[in-house]
Amino acid sequence: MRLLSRERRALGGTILRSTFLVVWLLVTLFPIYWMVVTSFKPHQEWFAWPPHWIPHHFTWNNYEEVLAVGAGGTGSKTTQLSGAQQVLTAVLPIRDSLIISVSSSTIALVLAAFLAYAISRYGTGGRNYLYSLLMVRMMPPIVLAVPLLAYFTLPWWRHYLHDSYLGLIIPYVLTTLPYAVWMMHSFIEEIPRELENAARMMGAGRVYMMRKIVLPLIGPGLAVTFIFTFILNWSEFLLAYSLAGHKLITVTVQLSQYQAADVGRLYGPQAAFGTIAIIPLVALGLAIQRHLVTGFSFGMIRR
Amino acid sequence: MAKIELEKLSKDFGRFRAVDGVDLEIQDGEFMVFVGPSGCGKTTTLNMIAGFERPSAGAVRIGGRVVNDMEPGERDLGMVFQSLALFPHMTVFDNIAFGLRVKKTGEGEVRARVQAVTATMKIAPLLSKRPGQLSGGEAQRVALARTVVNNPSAFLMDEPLSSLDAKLRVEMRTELKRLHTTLGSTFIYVTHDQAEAMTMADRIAVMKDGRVQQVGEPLDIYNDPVNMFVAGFFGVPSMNFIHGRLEARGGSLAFASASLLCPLDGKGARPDLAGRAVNLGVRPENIRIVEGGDAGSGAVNLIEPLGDETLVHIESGGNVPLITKVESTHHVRPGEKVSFEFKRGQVVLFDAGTQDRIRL
Ligand SMILES: Nc1ncnc2c1ncn2[C@@H]1O[C@H](COP(=O)(O)OP(=O)(O)OP(=O)(O)O)[C@@H](O)[C@H]1O
Ligand SMILES: [Mg+2]
Repeated sequence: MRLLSRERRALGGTILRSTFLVVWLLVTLFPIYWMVVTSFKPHQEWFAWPPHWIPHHFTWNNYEEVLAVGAGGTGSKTTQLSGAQQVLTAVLPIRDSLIISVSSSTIALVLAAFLAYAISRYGTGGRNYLYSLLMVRMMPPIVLAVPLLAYFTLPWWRHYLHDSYLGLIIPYVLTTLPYAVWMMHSFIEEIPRELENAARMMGAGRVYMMRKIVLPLIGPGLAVTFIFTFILNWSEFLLAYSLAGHKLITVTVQLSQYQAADVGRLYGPQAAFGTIAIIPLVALGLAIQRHLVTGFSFGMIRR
Repeated sequence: MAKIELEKLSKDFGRFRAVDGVDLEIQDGEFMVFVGPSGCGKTTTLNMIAGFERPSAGAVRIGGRVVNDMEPGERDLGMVFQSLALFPHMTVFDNIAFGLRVKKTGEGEVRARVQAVTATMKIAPLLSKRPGQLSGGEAQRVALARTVVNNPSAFLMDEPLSSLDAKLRVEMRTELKRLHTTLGSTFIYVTHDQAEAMTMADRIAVMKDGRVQQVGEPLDIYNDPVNMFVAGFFGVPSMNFIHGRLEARGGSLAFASASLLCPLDGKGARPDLAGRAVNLGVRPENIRIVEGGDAGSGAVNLIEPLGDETLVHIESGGNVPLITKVESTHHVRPGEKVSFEFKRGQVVLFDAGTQDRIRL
């Protein structure tokens, strides 16, 4: 009897958990589903009531809109949208966001790998260094945005730092570095010191050991960390909006600007753009799926 | 040539002294075992010899040269780690070839030497595998081969067998001994297993709390321990200790406890020792169950047959039962009342306070 009731309780727990997960999954996946569906709808269907769960008239039009080369959607073939000239291109923002995100993530990754190695193996910065690094990140980004704007628009370097690649890359490296160091540290900690000692014992110098032992073993960690910082940079809005946004427009800033005088909000092109914008993230995620769990557990399970 | 000398070697971690003034000479070609309980500083000592830890005081000499400031790789030593530390992303071949390639040996010679060593270690079929695919014993041999191939003048081993199961461990002991004989190099071997130390060592250094307690050949340490710690550390089951005091009896000394009385034969009478509180130590195999035994008597409360021998626990009035080891042909029954005697000259005395050996 006791056993039975315990089993039943366990089963109840499982059902509760599964139900919760299914609901949670629906809640998180629905907006993505809706975005993708909307991106294939002609504008008559954007606001249709009752909602069209799948497009009645499937169209690539929204994609053609946003992928049309040249700012302001000139060269757009659209005939359906009277506000066509106001449709913004996705091509330039995607290129710029790629340039900015890839360079900031790469720079942050290289710095983080060296810093994390020093913290792990030489105790650089003392016992609580990692935690203080993370504390830096507790600061709300807006606190950073305004002072940076003030500095970056000073006349001496305004030309280089305001509304420019460099002007975003610098703050992006700074804001993602703590995360990157934290993650790389957890990966480096998982390499037993004895491996390095064994290599040293056989006469390997620092550089040789790094190249032959450490680097190959933290490869997956580098990939996961890169993707993590890439996601942060790719989806960053506040700094991109306040430190750039005129000549240099990132994906997130561009996404916020889909308005047309007569149709109002351009849901179709916006959804198409949004769909395009998440493709790199999904692709990267799939590529390293196997390593994601270890990466995002931040080494907190161990020790 | 690698005679290894430790001179007043000490290591502090903060305010904690992990190794405390170790003086030791390890002869060229000797198989030296460091043994002691967990945390006694064996690994730390080995790491100072290897060069992974800097001594806080004292010196390490290898072949007469002080090596305190030398990189591990410059000391011409080979090390087998407790975790084996095989490189997981390399094949067995690449693991073994690592040291040779560091020294920029030509690929032809690398292949020849790796093949030679893997042939003698019987691991040739494993060359293209990765460490993750090896069994415990195979990984052990690969780790050895990786060290042997570099032909170091001395081998350092930190509990290399501790991850193996009991049977394999005993096999590997023999194999390591044989390797030592063939190579003729100096071996320093760390373990906390007294049986491993006894069976493998030319000489043993017994450590406790960062200090060397006793250095000597296995049987000398077994038969002639300098203190209670060393006496209790070796032997399974361990030595019986009985608390009591020394009494003068007709010109010679006797040991007396609540329930035992045991005449002691010493070279000279030591009247100065009479009245001293002591612990008498006697190994299980040195207690004989005999009719009318003069040392004492008691009831048998537990019998543990080991096959060839039997352990008999005798309740004789002390805090813990006396354990004796007798031939398994000797039949006793639980509850039976027996008397026993100690083999002549096979008891040792320790000061009850300092626990140091008292020699008569
Ligand atoms: N890096 C370190 N920092 C602080 N204390 C340390 C450090 N390394 C070792 N110790 C301490 O020094 C003492 C000796 O350690 P050591 O590793 O030499 O012991 P051991 O004899 O090898 O023990 P075991 O049999 O458990 O391996 C231990 O008390 C340990 O806690
Ligand atoms: Mg140890």
